[in-house]
Amino acid sequence: MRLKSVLASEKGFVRQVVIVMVILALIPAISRGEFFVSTLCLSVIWAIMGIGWNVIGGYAGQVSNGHAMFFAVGAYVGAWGLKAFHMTPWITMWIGAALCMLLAFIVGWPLLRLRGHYFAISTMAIVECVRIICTNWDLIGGATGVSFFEKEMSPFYTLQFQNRVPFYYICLAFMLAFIIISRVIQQSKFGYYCRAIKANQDSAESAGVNSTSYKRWAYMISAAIVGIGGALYAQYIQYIDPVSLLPLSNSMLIVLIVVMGGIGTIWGPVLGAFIMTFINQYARALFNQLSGLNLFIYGVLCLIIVLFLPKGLISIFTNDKVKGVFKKNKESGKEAE
Amino acid sequence: MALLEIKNATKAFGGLKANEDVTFDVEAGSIVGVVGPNGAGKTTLFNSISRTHDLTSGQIIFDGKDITKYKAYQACAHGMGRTYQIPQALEDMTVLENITVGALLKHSKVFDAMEKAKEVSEFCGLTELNGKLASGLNVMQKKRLEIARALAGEPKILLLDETMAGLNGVERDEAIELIRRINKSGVTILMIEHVMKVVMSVSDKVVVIVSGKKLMEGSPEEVTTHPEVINAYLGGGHNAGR
Ligand SMILES: Nc1ncnc2c1ncn2[C@@H]1O[C@H](COP(=O)(O)OP(=O)(O)O)[C@@H](O)[C@H]1O
Ligand SMILES: [Mg+2]
Repeated sequence: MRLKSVLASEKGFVRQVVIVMVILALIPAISRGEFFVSTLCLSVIWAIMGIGWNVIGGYAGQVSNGHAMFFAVGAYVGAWGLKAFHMTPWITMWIGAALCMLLAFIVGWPLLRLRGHYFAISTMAIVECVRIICTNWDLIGGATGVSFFEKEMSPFYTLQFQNRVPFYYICLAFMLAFIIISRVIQQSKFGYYCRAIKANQDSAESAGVNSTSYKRWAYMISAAIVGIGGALYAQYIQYIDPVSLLPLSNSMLIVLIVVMGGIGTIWGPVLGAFIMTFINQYARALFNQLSGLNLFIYGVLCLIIVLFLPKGLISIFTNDKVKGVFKKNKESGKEAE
Repeated sequence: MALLEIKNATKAFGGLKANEDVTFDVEAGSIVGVVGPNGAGKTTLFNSISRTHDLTSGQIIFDGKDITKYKAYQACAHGMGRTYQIPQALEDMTVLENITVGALLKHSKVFDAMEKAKEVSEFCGLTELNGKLASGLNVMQKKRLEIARALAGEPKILLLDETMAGLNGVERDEAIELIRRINKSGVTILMIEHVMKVVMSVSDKVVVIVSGKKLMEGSPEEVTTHPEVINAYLGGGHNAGR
């Protein structure tokens, strides 16, 4: 009965979920090309990462520039679980997520006391420390990294697929779960309090919000989701090292995806992830002699968004003003005819 | 027993003593006004009471509990609501969402909190603005919104910091009427007001703060006729009767 009433009050959201999931599920029908499907998988993995980042960065407004650290923890745990203990990522991903939460709890203790830019910069510093530790820690592979391709076991056990279409659907299922979690958070007391903290922390405290505690939980949930993303990424790429997991550009890409798509929104991270990943992959593949092209396109996109769509690309669908512009254009187009 | 007891409250910012040895009580159900010239330390006192910052020395007893070491959100949970002199609305949220944040203190389901928020919004005369972003409100509306958000948490006491400043005559009368209604509904009120006339017309008791110290307390009549108060106001370049 409760489920029914929840579904009734969430009609709009349910409709969005159905539309988006149907579209995403049908995309492999367009092309089953290896490169195309790989790009789809990566897009969904980055979308999961964006959804995770959005909890602390979007809802609670604490911009973390160090989320690559949780991505790496998830990836390392998944990689070593399989390589050393033949454990399936279906289990190790949760261990990784729990470790991410623990790490977020410890790191968040001092860092979440900092506000605004101070928090942003210190998260950046922490992830650098993690990168240096991973590079020098030989037990987990050091600078050489870990390669852990397993051909003996079933791909559904290892999540390592030769043909990536099933993997795409698995990632999509995770994304769906996190989208729903994201929505639940947004519509709950927790989400309201996070938004209040983002808007004005002192004012929120006077209204009864324990900002330290809510920020800490937001950071931990965010870390766990990104950790799962890292675990999926590890099985996708089957080779990890500190240079590919922990560069500053990875931390920034997570942020960029959400800001591009729409910070603090449900679908922004998904939209941002697909656009950024496709630009990234195809710019590199098609124009490999122009090595900075993806960055150039990011830059131009950023400019457009800052100037015209400060709430992200998703606002094309939600913003009445933007909708109005499109309508007006259509109408004036008709008049011109 | 008094609902709120402020005992020897002293707050220093470096060398500057913004409050020094301030002591007074607020009886449950009453309206108490705090007056004093600009820079006298009224807002500082409010920040100490509402636990926005720590006292240098002294004690605050609220509803039978020593809250001197509480954090702001704990004081709020214990029944203390406040507004700010410079309104601190949650700008990116709508009016109703702002009030809902306050209501979530007592109603942890968003649906219930929103129902409560609608009631409070109506009570404060904000219903037409419910869907509007707080950033789009004028100062008067923002002050009202702050009152509503604090009320939504069902406080035992409401601290109002210069709610009337900058309002014209009609708006001021409306605000006074609102404060009276809030008080009638059972909420004790401690209000800072720079405009003497307002305080005099609603307060059961008035506390006068000058240069961080309590000059005197008493009924509105006692205070307005006290030579030192007149002196402090006139001497500070202010008109006591304004
Ligand atoms: N955070 C602060 N740091 C330093 N000085 C402060 C601070 N807050 C207030 N003051 C000083 O304390 C005195 C009292 O200020 P305030 O309490 O705002 O006065 P009022 O509200 O009565 O106008 C002023 O001299 C002010 O400059
Ligand atoms: Mg003041």
